[in-house]
Amino acid sequence: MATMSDRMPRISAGQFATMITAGYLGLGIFYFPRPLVEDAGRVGLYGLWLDGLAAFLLMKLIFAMGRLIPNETLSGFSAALLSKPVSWLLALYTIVYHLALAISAVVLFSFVLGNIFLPSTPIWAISGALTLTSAYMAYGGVLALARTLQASYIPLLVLTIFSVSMATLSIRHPSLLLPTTDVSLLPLVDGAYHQFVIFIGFQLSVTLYPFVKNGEQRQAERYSVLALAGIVLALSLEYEVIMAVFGPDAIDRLRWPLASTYRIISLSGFYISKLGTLLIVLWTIVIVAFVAVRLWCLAHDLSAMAPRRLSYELALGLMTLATILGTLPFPNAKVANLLNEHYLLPLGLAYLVLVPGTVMVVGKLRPQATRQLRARHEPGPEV
Amino acid sequence: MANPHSWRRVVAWALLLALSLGALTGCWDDKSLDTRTLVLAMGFYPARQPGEVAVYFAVPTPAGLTSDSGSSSSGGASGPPLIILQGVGHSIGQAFSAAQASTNRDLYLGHTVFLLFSTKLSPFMLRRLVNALDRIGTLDKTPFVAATSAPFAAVLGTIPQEHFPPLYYEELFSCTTCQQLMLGVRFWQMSDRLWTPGVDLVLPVLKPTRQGPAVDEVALYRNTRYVATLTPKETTAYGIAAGRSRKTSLFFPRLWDANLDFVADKARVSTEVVHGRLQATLAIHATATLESIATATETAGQVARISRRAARLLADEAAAFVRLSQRDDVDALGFGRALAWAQPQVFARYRHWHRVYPHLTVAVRASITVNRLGDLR
Repeated sequence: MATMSDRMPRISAGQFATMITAGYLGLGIFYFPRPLVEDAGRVGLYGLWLDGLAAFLLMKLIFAMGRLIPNETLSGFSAALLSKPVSWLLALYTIVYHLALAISAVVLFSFVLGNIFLPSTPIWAISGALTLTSAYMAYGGVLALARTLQASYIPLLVLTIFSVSMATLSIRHPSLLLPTTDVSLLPLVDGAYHQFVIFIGFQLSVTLYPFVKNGEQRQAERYSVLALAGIVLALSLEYEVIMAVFGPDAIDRLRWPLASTYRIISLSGFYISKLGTLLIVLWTIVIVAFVAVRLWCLAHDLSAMAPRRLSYELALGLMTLATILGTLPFPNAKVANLLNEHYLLPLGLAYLVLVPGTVMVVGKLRPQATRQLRARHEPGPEV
Repeated sequence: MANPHSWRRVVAWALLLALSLGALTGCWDDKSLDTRTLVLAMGFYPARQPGEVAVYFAVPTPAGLTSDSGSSSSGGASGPPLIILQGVGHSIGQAFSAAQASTNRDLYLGHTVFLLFSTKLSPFMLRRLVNALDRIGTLDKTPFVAATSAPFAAVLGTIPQEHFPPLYYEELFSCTTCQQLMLGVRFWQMSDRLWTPGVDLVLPVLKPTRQGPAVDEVALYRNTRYVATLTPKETTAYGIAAGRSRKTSLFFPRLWDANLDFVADKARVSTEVVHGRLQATLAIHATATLESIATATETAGQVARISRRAARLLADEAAAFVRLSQRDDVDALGFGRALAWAQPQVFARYRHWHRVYPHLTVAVRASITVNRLGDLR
């Protein structure tokens, strides 16, 4: 089992917030805002805000669970609190879920890259390179990963804002910038549900929470909520621009709406006239980071769950191999999309509600066990 | 931390190395430039056999790529700037393969800047072509699009030699200071119009002339069916009605020979149901410069009269175009789209917008702001 000594390196509040929210914009490139517009039409923007609200509430719930035993991961303490079989089931669920999510993200982005830039390169070569880069990022452990993420993610956020402002030059229907008041509730909720797929990644905070430096947990929570608000704002801007450029009817037909929007950015006279295409290449950073965080989480949970001692590096290697092998059977991006829509979305939502809910209820029912667990995992010396 | 010499670490490294050898295979699409043929423009024409399309690929020659405006004596390669490859097939893919067979270099579409569609293409074929072009990943969505009734070689052959071909279309279609009307349509705008209900496609028409391809006409389409090509005068009316005027001139011989230049306008379309009846409005606002007037300096009263007259003229031109488009049943300005976006449920009631559009009541309003030139005498 993993012990405190495995988790000596601790991350800062800002790094925690970056790690759990970095994936949101990354997954957005595949879907956003098609599900919203498809179901809710022009009022999709309200659906996005509804998603933001739901993500905020679920985040609060998961942090409340994190505070129960703040210095041990869920996979580390669940056996003592919830009994061994339940703990195994939970760890298995977490591993399978994150593996499927990582595979899905790799497959989807490999098809974007393959379709736009590398038509002669087989998809396995693209997904293999993507996964290995992610594994290399995750190899150094949580602290190295957090620092790499911070270094690459923030410039990308700046570029995203820059690209959104570039895309505003292509706006042809400014009247669509004004949200309509013609709201029907059911399609709105339907659209919000389908779009929630881009927010399902933050379950990993159950594993990540104990790695936050002592005393910075509350700050980490605050930063995460702020990062979420920033992301909802950035997505709202992107939504508005895409809507006013294409109109609601054409968004439905766009292949990877966000990627398509970047591709129409054409600056004549600028050194790189196809700026948007360059941005899609840079987007790789987000996907690699998204997968790297998941691989780290998978490797950690696997080594915590293993009956005999399993090093983090070996667990990472195994999970990388599993991800690469898992991407091979996908014939096209549509299948990965179906996997997301029909399985990962409902199962992810169920995880986000049921796991913290169960742990907190059991925690309340077994105050003695909770106190003992908390005492056993008192913070060790900081590095 | 685990012991660095443990077997686990060795196994982990071995696993990683094996994976690296297997998966980091490098870029398979990396091809050197001299094995690649960059397609600059593509043309789509009906082939002799019904149901087939002839696709032309214009490829710049080394002479075409090294030519540069003003540096014709710089010692670059000589010869024609473009060569044209042709492929025929039932689909773009088939035609592409046929054209690829005629060259030993890889035909690459990533640098295509111009797409030309024959007005003789069947509606079915045009739809199929746009669908296919939409799905070609390497083809950017930003090439300019035009229609023509002239052969591909005749249109492309008239590009003046001193121009660098990739930049030529940029100047031809999106130069606000060198075009009277901004008629440029990019490919993504074309497909956007085709897939949006309640609006029809309008493409600029390229005519070969001795000075180069001329763009002073537009072709109207109903869905993907070519309907008509407007005359240059009608095209100006379309430009004003669609808010695409940038350098139109207006002359008023009865108002002190006043001459308004640089008439640039914006147009806004709205459609709504008023008392159970569909009512559409086209609102135009223009700005212009008073270039000259017989009285040398102008008074506020003179400017007001010129403005009123100019606004009426713009409204009349726009209304004439609306009538023409209703006659042809081509909703070029998107009155249906305006209704669909404002009141989707109401629009859904009109299943066939093209049966409604010819009978739509449209009110046209125009206003103009004249910048006075004589303020400093």
